[in-house]
Amino acid sequence: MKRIIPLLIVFLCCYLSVKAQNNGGRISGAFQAQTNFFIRDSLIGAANIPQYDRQLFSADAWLNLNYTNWGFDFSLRFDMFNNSNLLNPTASYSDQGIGFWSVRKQIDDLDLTVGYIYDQIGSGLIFRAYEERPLLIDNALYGIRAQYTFSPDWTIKGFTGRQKQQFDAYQSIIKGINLDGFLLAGEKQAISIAPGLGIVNRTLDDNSMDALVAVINTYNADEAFVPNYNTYAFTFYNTLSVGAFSWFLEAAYKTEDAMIDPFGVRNLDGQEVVGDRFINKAGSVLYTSINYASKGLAITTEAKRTEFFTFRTRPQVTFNRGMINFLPPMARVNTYRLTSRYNAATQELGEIAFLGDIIYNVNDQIKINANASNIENLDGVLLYRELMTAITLEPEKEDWTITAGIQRQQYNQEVFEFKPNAPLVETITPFADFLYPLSENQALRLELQYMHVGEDPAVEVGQDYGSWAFALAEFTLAPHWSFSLSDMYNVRPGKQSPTDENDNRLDLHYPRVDLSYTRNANRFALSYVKQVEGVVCTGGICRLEPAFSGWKFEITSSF
Amino acid sequence: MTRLFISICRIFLISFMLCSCEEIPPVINPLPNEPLLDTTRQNILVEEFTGNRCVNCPAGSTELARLKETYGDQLIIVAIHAGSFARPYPESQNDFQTNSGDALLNYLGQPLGYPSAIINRKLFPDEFDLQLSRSLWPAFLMQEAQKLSRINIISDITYSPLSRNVQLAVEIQKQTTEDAENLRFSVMVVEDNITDYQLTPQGVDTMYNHRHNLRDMLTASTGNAIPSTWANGEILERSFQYTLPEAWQASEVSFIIIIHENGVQKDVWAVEEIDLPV
Repeated sequence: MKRIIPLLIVFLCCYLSVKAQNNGGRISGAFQAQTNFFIRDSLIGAANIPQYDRQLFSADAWLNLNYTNWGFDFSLRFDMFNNSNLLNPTASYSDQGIGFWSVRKQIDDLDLTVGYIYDQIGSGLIFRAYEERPLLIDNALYGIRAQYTFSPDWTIKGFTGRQKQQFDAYQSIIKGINLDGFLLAGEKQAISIAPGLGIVNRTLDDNSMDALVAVINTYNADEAFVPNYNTYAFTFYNTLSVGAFSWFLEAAYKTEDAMIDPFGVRNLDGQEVVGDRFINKAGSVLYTSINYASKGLAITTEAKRTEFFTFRTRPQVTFNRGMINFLPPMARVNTYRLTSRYNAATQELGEIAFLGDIIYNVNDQIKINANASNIENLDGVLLYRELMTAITLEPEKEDWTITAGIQRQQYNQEVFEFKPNAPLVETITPFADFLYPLSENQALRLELQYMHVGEDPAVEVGQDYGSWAFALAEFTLAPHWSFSLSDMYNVRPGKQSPTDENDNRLDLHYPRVDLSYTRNANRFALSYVKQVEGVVCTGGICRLEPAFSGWKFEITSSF
Repeated sequence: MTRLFISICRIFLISFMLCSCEEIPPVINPLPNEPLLDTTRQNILVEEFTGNRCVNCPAGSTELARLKETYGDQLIIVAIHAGSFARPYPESQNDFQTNSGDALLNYLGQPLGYPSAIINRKLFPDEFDLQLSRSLWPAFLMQEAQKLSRINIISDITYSPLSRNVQLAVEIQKQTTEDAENLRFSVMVVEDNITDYQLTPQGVDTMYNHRHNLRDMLTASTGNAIPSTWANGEILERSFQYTLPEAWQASEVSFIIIIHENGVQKDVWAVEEIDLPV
C-alpha cells in the first residue's frame, strides 16, 4: 500500500498535466541533478570508499512537480541516488522513488494537507520539518496537518505523523499543536506583537524502546534509568516590533527524554570509558534576537542558552539524523573559502552563545561590517569565538569594488569534531575580494586569503592542517558564462596534514576549476575539485566531510 | 475575539495537563555478569572496525569485552583494522591493516563514525546501514542471541609447530529448508592479545592490548560460493591449508568460519570460532 499511494499520485499528476492547459490548472516544477566522477587520490585521503575503489561515478537527482487546480495543490518529487555519498560521505547509497508527495486543500478557513509536510513551530526549537539536500537531510513529516485561520491575524494548526527516513518512515509518532497570532497596538498602531505557542509530543515505538531498554540493562545501577515512551516539548515565542527595532524571544522546555551523550563517562569493570552513553534529562532552550535597522545602519544581537535539548525521533539516531527540532546556529555564516573552514555546529546538550553584528554605511563609498560571536558550554569551556571586521570600498568615480577584512577564530575541535585531546584551533585570516568590471557584461573578481593557524605545543607543528593560502580568479561573461580558477595551498602543514611513507608532512595544493553556463531557467556547471577534509555546514547543521578528488557536474532547471 | 483566544488557550492548557498522564514504563532488568549458556542458540558475529589512530576505539573494545562476559562463547568478535584510522605509527611493531580488512570495509560499508561494529552483517529495522554505533550493540546482540541455529558447523584443526602448517577441515550441515541461494563460506584468521601502539584519550598507549585482530582470510573477502542446491540435512566439506607467519603467536591464533549471504542482504547464518591447538 505504501508504494501504491505515490504511484497513484504519479498517474494522477501525469493525467492532470495533460489536461492542465485545457481546464485552467497550473503546473510548475524544478529539476536538480548532480554527478560526481571520483578520481582516487590516496595522498589527500580521497580513497578507500566504494566510489573511489570501484564505482567511480555517483548521481543524485530531484524532480519536483506542482499542480494547482480546483482549489487543490498537488506536489510530487522523484528522488534518485546512485552510489551517492550524500547520506554517509564515506559510504555508498543507492535508491530511487517518490521522495515527497502531498495534497493540499483550502476549505474556507480550513487548510488541510496530507502526505509529506514541511513546517515548523516558531524558530524551530521544538519542531521543524525541512530539507537540506547537501547533507541529505529530509525530515518531512509523513502524515496530516489541519490549519484553521479563525481571524485574519490568528491561526491554529495541528499535525500528526511519522518522520521520513529516505523512502520509508521512522516508527515513532510525532504530533503537535501550534497557535500563531499578530496584534497591533500603540498610537498609529506603531507597535506590533506576534505571539505564538506550541506543543509537540513524540511517542517512542516499541522497537526503539526495546533497543533502548536492552542498552540500559547493560548499565551499572547508578547509570541506569527508566525511559519514557512519551516526551513533550513546549514553546512560547513572540516578536515585538517598535519602529526600527524588533525583538524576538522564544523559550522552550522538554520533558525527560533519553538521549545520547557523546562524551558520557561509563564505569566498565573499574575502568572509566568516555563515549556514547544514554542519559535521561529534561531540557530547555532560551533564544532571543534584537534587530535594529535604519538607513545606513543595521545591528543584530542574538543570545541562546541550551541545556539537554536533543529531540530525536528515536534516541538511537545520531549526527544529523532523525532530528525533530532545529536549534539555530549562533556563529556568523561565512562565505569565503578559508573563513568558513571552521564552523560551530549547534551543541544540543549544552551551550551558551552570543552573537553581535553591525553593518554601517559611512557614506555611499564606504561600508563597514563587524561581527563577534562567543559560544561556551555550560561549564564555561570555550567552544567557539569569532571576531571579524571588513570594509568595502566603492569609489564614486571608479567601477571597481574592494572588500578587505580580517577574521580571528578559536575553535574547539575536540568538541565539534569528536577528536579527543585536539587543542583549541586558533586562526587569524586576512582576506580581500576585488571586483573589476572589464566591460558592460564582463567582470573579473579576485579573492586572496591567508589563514594563519596556531601551533600545537604537543607536536610543535600547526594545529589541525596548519596554515593555508587561498587565491581565486573568477571571470564572468554575463548573462551566460562564468569561469573560475582557485587553489588552496597548505602552506605550513599541520598535525593532521597528509604525510608520505616516512611520516613527513606534505604541503599539498587543492586546486579547483569551475565553469558554468546559464540560459533562461537552465544552469549547467562543471567543476574539477580537489578538496581537503573539513566540516561542511548547511543552515546551521554541520558534518565532517572527507576529502574529495574528481569532477562534478550539475544541472538545475525550473519551469 | 477575546473569548475565542481564551478558548484556544484552554485547549493548550488541557493539552499541557494531558502530558501529566502517567504511562506504564518499561521494565529494566540488568544483565547478569555470567555467560548465558544455551547451545541451541546461534552464535553471533561482531565485526568491530577499528584503527591504531582511532582515539575512541578502545572504548568500543572495552564495551565488547564486557558484552563477551555476558554472552560468552556465543559472541565471536573480530577486530578489523581498516579505514582512515588504521594506518600504523612509524614506531608500531605490527601493521594490522590487511587487504582482506580493506576489502571487507568496502564490501560491508564504511561507518559514519568510530567505534563501529557490524552484528551478523544484518541491516536492522530503522538503521541506515550495517554499521552500528556503540550505543546500539547491546540491543541488537540481545535480539540476535535469541535466534536458533540454522547451520551446524563441525571443524577439525591440526597444527604442526615445526612447519607452522595448519590443516583445517570443516563440515557444514544445513538445518533449515530455507533457500540457500547466494550463500557464501568465509574463513578468517584472527590473532588475539597483541601488544602495540594505540591512540587513547590519554595519549598514545605503547603497551595497548589489541584483541581479536583480523590477520588474514583463507577465502575471498566476499566468501567462497556454496552450491545453491544445498539441501536440508546435507553435509558439505571444505578443507584449507595455511602456514602461520613466524611473527604470529600460534597460541593466540584462531579461525572463524562464517556462513553468510552475499547479495543485497549479507546476513550471517552461522559462525563458529576454533582455536589453534598448540
